[in-house]
Amino acid sequence: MNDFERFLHATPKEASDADDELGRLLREAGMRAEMPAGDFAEIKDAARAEWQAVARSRPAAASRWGVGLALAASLILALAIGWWWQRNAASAVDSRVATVLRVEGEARTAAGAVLEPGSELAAGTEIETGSGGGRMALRLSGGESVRLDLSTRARLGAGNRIELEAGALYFDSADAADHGGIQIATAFGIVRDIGTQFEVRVDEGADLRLRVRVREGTVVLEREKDSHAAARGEELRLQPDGTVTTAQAAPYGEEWAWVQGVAPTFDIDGQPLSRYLEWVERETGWKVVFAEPDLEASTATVILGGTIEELMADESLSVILPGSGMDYRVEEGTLLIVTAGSD
Amino acid sequence: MKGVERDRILVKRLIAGDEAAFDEFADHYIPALHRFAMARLRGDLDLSRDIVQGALCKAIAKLSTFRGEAALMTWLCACCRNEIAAHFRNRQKVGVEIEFAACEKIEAGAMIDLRAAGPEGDLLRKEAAGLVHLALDSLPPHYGKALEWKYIEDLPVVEIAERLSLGPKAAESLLTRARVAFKQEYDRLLKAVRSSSESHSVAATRLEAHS
Repeated sequence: MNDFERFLHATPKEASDADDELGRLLREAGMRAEMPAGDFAEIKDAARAEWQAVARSRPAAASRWGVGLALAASLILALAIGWWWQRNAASAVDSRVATVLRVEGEARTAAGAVLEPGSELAAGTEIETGSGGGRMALRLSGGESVRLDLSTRARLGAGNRIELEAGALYFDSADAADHGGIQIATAFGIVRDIGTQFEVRVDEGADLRLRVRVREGTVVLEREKDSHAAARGEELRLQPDGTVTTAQAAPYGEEWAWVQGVAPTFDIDGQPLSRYLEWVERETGWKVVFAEPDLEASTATVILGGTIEELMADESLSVILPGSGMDYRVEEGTLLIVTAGSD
Repeated sequence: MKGVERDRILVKRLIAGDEAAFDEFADHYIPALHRFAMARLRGDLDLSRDIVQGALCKAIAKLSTFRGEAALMTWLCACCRNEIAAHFRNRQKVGVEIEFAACEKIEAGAMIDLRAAGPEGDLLRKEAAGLVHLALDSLPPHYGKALEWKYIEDLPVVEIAERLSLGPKAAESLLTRARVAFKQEYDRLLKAVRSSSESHSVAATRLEAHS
């Protein structure tokens, strides 16, 4: 029982005594002293100037400018060399199968080229993330989202095929206009999806070779002689002896945290609250439930502004919902949305 | 949401350039740090203002290093103590005792200085009040205000609810959470003071034994 529960379960006398003691302590201490308004304003102005300088100079902003300048330079170059560029670039554009959306830490091609947001990857490119914190998010040419965990090596193929040599890969087809299915090929079998979110982890540990966890939809693991399917909330485990077992696996929680950590930022500006909540649901694996039907209806009319850059989906809730007159609780994979102050 | 988690999110919003986050940060932590500095600088208003300004600007420049291992208030208090220590080092003053070793650490004990001047009775009372205020300053702002309104200004719950734009039931619930949070924070600080006090006594005993 924690302090809060002890407090709630105290007898009336215990509660009254504790309340008296707290009251005595606070009354003896008195109100906290107010500081002079002029001093407050002076300190706040100085702090704001420092904060604005820090916010302006942060690396993410710098890299965005860098990408913008690079794009502008590319455009000028393209205009200058005209038809020659178009004719020769056509084959490169055709072979592009993915774009890097976000990199946390170190990510490179096998040839040693450093990958950064905006990098375009052609079929056949081998990519790897560093073991010291490297993670990466890609968008395939069909709009599908792919994320790579630490120490992952993969090769991008044509036709929505990815060869996963080591590490872990997460796949989400939500934003694909016409998703035709993905194949994740590993040394231990091929994983195919049917409109879904899932993680494939190649493991060279003593008791496991491959693990496939499904957050939504259905996934099939195909091997030379057999195939196994897993649905939402299930995982397939390939043991070193070739046995495949199926077990329950929550589609939310710590095991999925890395996926959120490298998720491309959701641009909330101008989006209805309902769309934002769909994104939270997809990124966290929680099911959104409304305490009152009216609340759900109102999410379509509340339009959001600003940014949640730097925040993970679960962290952003405490910023977004209070501004919309709402609060939330998370219980057993359910995100319960309530009216603010109703608990 | 836990306090440290809330602090970590506030810092992320600050780093992302969120204006509302800056106001939230400044409106709560500037007065709190000012009270912290005043208690350690014998009520010197001008010096407290300069120290808090310097400490806050340095803390903001290092926001990206905040990992949420300690509460944001604890982290800022440690920065403030460093600023006070640097001030007196620069002027080679010894009029106010500063525990230099503790300034290098970010821990609850770094916020407490039992060795302020004054007769013992006054000292204890002042320390007790300082501890209560520090605990209140370490809570979410509306928790601290609600507790002051209820127990010092003796306001009825209905009026507290109005001030917080809540219904009476929600205000009661908030007061319950605030009382629990205050108790936890106050107990934590008290424990840190006792531990700090014991280590000073041990050091003093060892010095006496050597002399």
